Amino acid sequence: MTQTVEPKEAHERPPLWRDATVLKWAAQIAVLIGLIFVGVVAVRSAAANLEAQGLTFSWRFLSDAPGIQLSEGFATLPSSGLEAILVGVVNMLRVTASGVVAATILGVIVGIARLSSNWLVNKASTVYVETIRNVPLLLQIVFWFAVFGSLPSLESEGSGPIEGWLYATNKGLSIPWFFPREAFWQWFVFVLAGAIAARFAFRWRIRVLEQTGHEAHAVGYSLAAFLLFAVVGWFAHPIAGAMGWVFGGLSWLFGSVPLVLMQFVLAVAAVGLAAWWIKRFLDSLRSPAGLARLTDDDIFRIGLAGAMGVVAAIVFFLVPGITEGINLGLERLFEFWDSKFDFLRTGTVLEFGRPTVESPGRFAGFGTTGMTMSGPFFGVWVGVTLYTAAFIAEIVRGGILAVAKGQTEAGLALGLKRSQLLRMIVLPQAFRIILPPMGNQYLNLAKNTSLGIAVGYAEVVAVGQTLFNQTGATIQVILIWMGFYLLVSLILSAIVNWYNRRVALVER
Amino acid sequence: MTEPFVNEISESEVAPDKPSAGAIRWARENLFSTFFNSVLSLLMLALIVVFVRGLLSYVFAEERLWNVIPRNMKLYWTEAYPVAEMTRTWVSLGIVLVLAGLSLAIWKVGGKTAPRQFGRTLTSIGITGLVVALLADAPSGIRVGAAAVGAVLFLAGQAVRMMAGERFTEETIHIRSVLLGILLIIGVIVWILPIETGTKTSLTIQGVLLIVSYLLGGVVLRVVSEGLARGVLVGLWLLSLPVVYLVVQRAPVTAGVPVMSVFLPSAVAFIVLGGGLLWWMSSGKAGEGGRLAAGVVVIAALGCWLVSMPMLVRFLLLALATFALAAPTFGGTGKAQKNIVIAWSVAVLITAYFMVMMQAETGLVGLQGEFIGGLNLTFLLAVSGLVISFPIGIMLALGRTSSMPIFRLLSTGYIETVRGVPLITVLFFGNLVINRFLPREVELDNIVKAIVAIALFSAAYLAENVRGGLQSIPKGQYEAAKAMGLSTVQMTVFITLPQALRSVIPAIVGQVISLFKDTSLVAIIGLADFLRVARDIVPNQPASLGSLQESLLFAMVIYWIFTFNVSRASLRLERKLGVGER
Amino acid sequence: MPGDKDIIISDGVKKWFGDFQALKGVTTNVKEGEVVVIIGPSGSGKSTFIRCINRLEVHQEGRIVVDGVELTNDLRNIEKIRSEVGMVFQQFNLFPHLTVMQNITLAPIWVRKHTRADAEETAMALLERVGIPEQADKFPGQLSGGQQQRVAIARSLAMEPRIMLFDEPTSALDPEMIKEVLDVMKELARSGMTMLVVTHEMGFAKEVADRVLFFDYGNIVEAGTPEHFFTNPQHDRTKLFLSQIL
Repeated sequence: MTQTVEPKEAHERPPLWRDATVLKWAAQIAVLIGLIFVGVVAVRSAAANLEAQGLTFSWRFLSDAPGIQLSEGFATLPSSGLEAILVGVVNMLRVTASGVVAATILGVIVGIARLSSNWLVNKASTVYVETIRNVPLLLQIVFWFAVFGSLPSLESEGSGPIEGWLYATNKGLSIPWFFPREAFWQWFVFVLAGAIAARFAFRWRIRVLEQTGHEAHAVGYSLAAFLLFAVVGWFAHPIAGAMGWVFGGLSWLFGSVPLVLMQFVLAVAAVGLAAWWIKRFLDSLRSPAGLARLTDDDIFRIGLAGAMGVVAAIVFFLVPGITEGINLGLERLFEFWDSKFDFLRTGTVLEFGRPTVESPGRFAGFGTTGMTMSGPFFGVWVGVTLYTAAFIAEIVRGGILAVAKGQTEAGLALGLKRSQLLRMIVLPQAFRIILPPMGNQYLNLAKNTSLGIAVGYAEVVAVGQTLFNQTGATIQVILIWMGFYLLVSLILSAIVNWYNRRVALVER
Repeated sequence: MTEPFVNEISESEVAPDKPSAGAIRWARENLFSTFFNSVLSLLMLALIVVFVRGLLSYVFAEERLWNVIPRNMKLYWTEAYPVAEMTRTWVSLGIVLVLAGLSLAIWKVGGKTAPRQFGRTLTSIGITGLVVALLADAPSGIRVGAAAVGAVLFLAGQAVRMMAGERFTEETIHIRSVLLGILLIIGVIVWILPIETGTKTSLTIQGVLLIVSYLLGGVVLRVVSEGLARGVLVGLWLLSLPVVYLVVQRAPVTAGVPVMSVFLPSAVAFIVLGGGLLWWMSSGKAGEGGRLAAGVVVIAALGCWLVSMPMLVRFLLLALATFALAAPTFGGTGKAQKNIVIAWSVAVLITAYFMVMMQAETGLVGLQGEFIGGLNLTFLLAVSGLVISFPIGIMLALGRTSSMPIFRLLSTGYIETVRGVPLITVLFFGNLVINRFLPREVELDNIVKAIVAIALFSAAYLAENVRGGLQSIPKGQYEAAKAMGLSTVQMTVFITLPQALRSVIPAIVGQVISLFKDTSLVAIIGLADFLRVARDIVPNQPASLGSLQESLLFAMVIYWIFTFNVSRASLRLERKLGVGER
Repeated sequence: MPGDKDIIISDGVKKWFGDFQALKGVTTNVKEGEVVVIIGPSGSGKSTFIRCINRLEVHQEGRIVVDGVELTNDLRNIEKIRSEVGMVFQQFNLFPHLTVMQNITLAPIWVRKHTRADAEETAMALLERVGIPEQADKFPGQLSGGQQQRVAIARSLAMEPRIMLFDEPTSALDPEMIKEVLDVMKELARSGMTMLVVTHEMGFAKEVADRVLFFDYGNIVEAGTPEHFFTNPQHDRTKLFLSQIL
């Protein structure tokens, strides 16, 4: 065969303005530069605007006394802006945690009721879901808050329903409660150890079950292990006070380590992390035959990871404030935990407190006498619980239906009983389908607690608004809000991803 | 969204058999099939009786101030809009209803329903009335009335069943005649209710408009092709938004706007120069020069926001950039060239016209700035938020699925950040911070800031939905499009986006519902939307003190009616498109 | 019958997917009007090779020249090649949201810039050529597999390509529909179209191929006329493959 058409030369390079790869990167870099330019102009314009209003961009408000009062929380008169925000964070986590628990229970019940063959149960749950889902959550929260406001007012005597045990008034719902005392955390160490022991016991008995084939009472054993630790710990908790030495030592370490050393450690960690990621990435491309050819996309990823590591390292050296902050924060944190432990410290673990009315129209302070649920908390909690439960119910229903179709028949064919089928076949598989969207709902619930601001519940957004009204630090507070919620989202999605990966591995 | 959403399972697979053959047999099968089931049924029945009775006594209690609601209808709908100018609101509603009537006819909405279904609906409404009469702790007048209405409807339902006979389950009743009936009943109720005669007349006119435009739609369909009619209608819907809010309701006074000295010259200049540029770019001969020119226009369109110049020029440059990017792809023939230039001229004129309207002072007496409130504002926020978020969301979705790593990184970063934070923080950002980042002379009013925030927020969620659709398209579709020589833009516009959008319609409708509900958050940043009117404005009037719960319940019912019906419609649409089966 | 001009030149073409080398230096030339059938076990790189020819896959080393134009990153060349090389896929890849007519006229209108009327006229002529003019206004989902594949062929022909690539065009079809597609392809081959066909249809290869290439492990193991190939294969791997498939 003869070649009749010979191209001019081997490997013509196209002119730059027609080269697909060059154009692709030129467009991307142009947009990036444009965005950076817009960002710089916007920030400069913000600086000019702030200056015109006589404000400066500083984080001083975090350490200054804010001079604000919060409606509820562990410190209603916070001594610094940071403390005020922490009060908001704790309040937000309180209502989120209670909401997650209540919404899960209610949602699962309603979800199963949606599949019930009982006509009344089926219809009632459908009405619930369709009503709640189609009304704005904010409206629901406001409504429940208004309902709370119409409860009878709190009198020092004769309030009830059950004087001294249960109050339902427009100042709050109050019930008896257990309160942690000075030795609580020492005991808690034992409880944690008990949980770990229970896990080991469970695995051990399951192994026995698998090997011998006899009933091995795995649940009973693990429960017994847990209770053993809890009971022993109730009396032996002064020993766990030794944890105080560990925390004290750590606190001392971060208080006295030289700044430069810490900067160096952090910088090495940043670069090391980047290097580790790049190595892992390259490994994933490597084959027995050697390293595969890198595409421009691969090169970009490696470059970006490397650049981020190096930039982080440089920032640690250029801005010592970050390292100082980390040091100080860790020192304080361990100091705080140190204060909870003292070797051979005796004392009470838990204390039982009944609600008391202090003066006409007020419950006694937060912390020791009865658990009081305020109107704003009630509004937010009931609102997000009912709302999220409606969505969880749909997820549960969908999950069970998705499994039920083929698997039920297969299970019945194997001769399983209906109850066995549900417990051994359908639920475990449905759980796998249900959990990821459930994580999304929990995240939505956490974000929705921010509507507490509409009824004056002192969570992060409400506290932030009070703060910037007082100090003018609007941009900073909004940055803190977004940072906080992003952190919550990241943690939750990390958990969901981790679970998904575990499930995927099991599947194979 | 990749969530295994539940909508796909039709009701009939799950729900027990509907009462059909013999009430006793039905009850035995569906309520008392086993011992456990019987106990459950009795418990549930007790619970429902207690709950319904409690609810009814709450609703009919002496201290409920329900008369607050009809008295304040104007506030709920339009808040502080001047009473003397209410005609403008009616005209706006009329525009929307005319378009709705035309759309119903041209999209041939509504099929037929079976007598079985229809009879059952009537019967269940009748039973509800009887339950109210039986359980309500209400004045005897209400109880007798409810019993009478309930009985009549119940009998009517049964009569439909009888009359239909064998064709009981055949679909023989037109939904549109049912709708017409409902409309007539509403008309009768309107004339009975104690409201002003003017309002009664206006409402009647609106109803007539709806019916007339529906009939007109049928006529239109006989004259022009379906595709053309639909295209024109979509355009009219898009235009109706600015027309209603910028022109009709705002009553602009153009005296202070430099129409002759600024607007007309810039519009003409843009039509001539931009038209020339587009003519050249779409000729097919521009080649790399055209690409360069498009780049320059895009940079100019973005850069112009940083220098001070008339707002009109900025918007026109933005439009020109869009056209310039599209011109080489869609031009080529003489006819296409001409079409592009004509489209460009129309776009310039429309933009210029609405910019004039936007910069004109409002002619409404006594109210400057935020004159839109109540449900009216809620709709404005939801609709404009959606319209603006659409292009942004699609661009973000394309960016996130693109092969260009920097675009992917930027889109992903934006989407995940916005989805990670609550809407209220974005609204605060829009309300308090956006202005600080903009040049001094750009001053956005509160409603615009809220719209921008809602649109930016919603765009991230929309992007995720569209991404789901894009990822569900088989790789072969991309390959076939490329192998045919389509450019990336053509492939996106003709092949991938249409398929992606169609497959995510249910998800997008779901998002529209939550967007509608989420607009209520603007009450927190101080806008007088429907929720704020219901919570703060109505119950705080001296004559309506103590009506907070009533007002909130009314708001709930209104929100519920809209969202519930939209979600039902979406379910029907989904079944029609057969999306669930794919 | 093949002319003298080499319309496709492939010289030492190599291609990796991550760490897997799919093509290990493929060298072959195709003459204008020649019909080349490519056979080989799955995963041997035969599909990858023809997908490199219209740059659906980007080769990493070596040279491909189509009709005197080398395939590089040059945007202008990529556009030119794509509109001159038609391709038919195993899974048809018709656009489900467009009618048959719209599927066929899309590219002529927007890439070749024909008027709609011209494009529709050509499309009708092509539909008649593949034997299904009555299906013009249906959607692909309403057609049988064989009909869909014939529409896909018409869609490629509408661009008036100089070369047609077929990537296992009959593998996804029910047996009774294979013939109707093969008939269209045979007619096309006789009309003088340059064709590269990846297929397992040995009958087709015997009947119309000018040359058969056997691919294995990312390279051409053996090449020759159909007679040579089916009567007197040289290489062991070819013999083994033919014994399994025939």
